[in-house]
Amino acid sequence: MTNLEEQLTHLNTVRLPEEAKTRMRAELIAYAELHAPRPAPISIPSPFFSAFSLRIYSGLSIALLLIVSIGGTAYAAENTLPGDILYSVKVGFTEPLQTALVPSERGKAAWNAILAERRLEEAAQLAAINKLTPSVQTELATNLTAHISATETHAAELERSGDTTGSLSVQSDLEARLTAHEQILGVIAAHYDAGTSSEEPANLETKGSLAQLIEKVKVHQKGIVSKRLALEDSIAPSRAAATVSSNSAPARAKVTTALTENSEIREPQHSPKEVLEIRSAAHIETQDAVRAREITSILGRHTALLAKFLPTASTTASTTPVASTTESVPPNDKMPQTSVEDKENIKP
Amino acid sequence: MEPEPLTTSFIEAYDLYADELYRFCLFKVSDPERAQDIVQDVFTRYWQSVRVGTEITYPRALLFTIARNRITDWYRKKKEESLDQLQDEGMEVEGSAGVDIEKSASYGEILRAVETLNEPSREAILLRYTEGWTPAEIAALTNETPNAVSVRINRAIKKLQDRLRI
Repeated sequence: MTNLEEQLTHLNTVRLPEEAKTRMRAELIAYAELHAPRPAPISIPSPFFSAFSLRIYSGLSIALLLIVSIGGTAYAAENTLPGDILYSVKVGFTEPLQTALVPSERGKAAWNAILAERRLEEAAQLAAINKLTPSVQTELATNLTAHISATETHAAELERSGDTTGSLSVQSDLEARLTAHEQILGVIAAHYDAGTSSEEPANLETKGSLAQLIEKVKVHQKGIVSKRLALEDSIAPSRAAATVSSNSAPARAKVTTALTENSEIREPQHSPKEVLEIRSAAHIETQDAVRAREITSILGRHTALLAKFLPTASTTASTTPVASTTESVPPNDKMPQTSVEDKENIKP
Repeated sequence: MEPEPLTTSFIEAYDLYADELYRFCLFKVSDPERAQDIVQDVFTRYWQSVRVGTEITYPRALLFTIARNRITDWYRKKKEESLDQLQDEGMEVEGSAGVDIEKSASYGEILRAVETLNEPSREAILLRYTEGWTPAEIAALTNETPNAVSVRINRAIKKLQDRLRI
C-alpha cells in the first residue's frame, strides 16, 4: 500500500460531530415515534352485507366516514389560529388524535412539548397582527399549561421507569422551546411598549394580554429549569469534577464552584459510580449544547417575524437575539440570565 | 411501554452507520452542515421504508443507495440555483471544509486533490480507502462490474499521485 493510500485510509477518523450526532439521534427517535410502523391491515366486513350486519357495523362505518371526511378538514385546520373557524378542529380533534397515536412515553412527552410550542407560536402570530385578545390569551395559556404538565407527567414516568437521560432530554427540549418563545414574545412586547404613537384599543389589549402570557411562560420556564437542575444534580452530583469538555459556559462554571464548595460533605466516591456520573455529566453537557442549538433554530425559524418587531435603527440588533444563543449561556442575554439566577437560587 | 423493536433496530443502524454515511456525504458535498442534513434525510427515508414493512437485508447498502440519490438530487438543485448563491456557497465550502475535515495540512492537501477528481472516481476512492469497501461491493452500489471499479480506482490513485507529486 502506498503512502497516499495509507493516508486516504486515515480519513476515516472524520466523524459526525458529537453534538450533531446526539441531536440527530434524538430527532430521529422522535420522528420514528411520530411515524410509527403501520399495523397489519384489519379486515372489516362490508357493512352492507346484510341488514343484520348493517346494524352492527353502522356505528363503525359512520365513524369511518367521519374520519375520511374529517381527514380533509383536519388537514385544512393544521395551520389555523385561534379565532379561525377550523381552529377548534385542530385543537379539539387533530391534535388529541395525534397524541393518542404516539406509542411511547418519550414520544408522548416530546409531542406535548411540540404542542406547547405551537400554542406560543399561535400567540406570537396573533400578537403580531394585534389580535391577541384577553380571552384568546386565557385559552392559549390554559392549553399551554395542559401540554406542559402532560410533558412533565410523561417525563416523570420515564424517570420512574429508569430512563433518566430520556426524561432529561424531553424536559430539556421543552425548556428550549419555552425559552425561545419567551424571547420571541418578549421582542413583540418590547415593540408594543416602545410604540407610543396613537395607541388604539386593540393595541392596548394585545399589549396587556402579551404581558400576562409572558408572565405565565416565565413561571413555567423557571419551574422547568429548577426541576432540570435538580435532576441533573441527582444524576451527576459531582459533575464539577468531571472531566467533561472545556466548552463549559460561565453559568456552568458558577455551578461548578458552588459544587466544589460543597464537595467536602459528600462521601468519597467509588469508581463505578464515578464513571456513571461522568457519563451523566457528559450527557448534561451535550444536552446544554443541544438546547442552545434548539433555541437558535427556533429563533431562526422566526426571523421573518422577529425582523418586523426589532428596532430598525440598528441592523445589527436584529441578529443579536439569534446569534447570542449560540453560546450556551451568554452573559448579557435576558433569558439565560434568569437560568443563571435559578441555578444559584436552588443551591443550598 | 416497551420500545418498538423496529425503532430499536433503526436507532442501532443509526449508531452503526451514521459516521460513515456522514463521511461519504461530507466528501461529496464538501459542506459539513449540508452533509448532516443529508444524513438525517437519508435516515428519515430509510425509516419510511422500514415502517411500511419493507424487509431490509442489507441496511448499509440501502442507506448508501439512498444517500447517493439524495446527493445527486442536491447537485441537480444546486445547478439550478443562481450564480450569486453558488459563489456565496463556494466561499463557505472552502472555509468550513478546511476546518472540520482535517486539521493537518497534508490531509487538507489530499482532500483538495480528491475534490478535483471527477464524481465517480472520488466516490470510488473514498469507499475503497476510507470505508474499506471491496471493488465488488462498490460495483454492487454503482451497478458496474468490479473490474471497471478497480480500473477507475487505479487511475484515480495515479492522478492523485501526479497532482500531489508523490
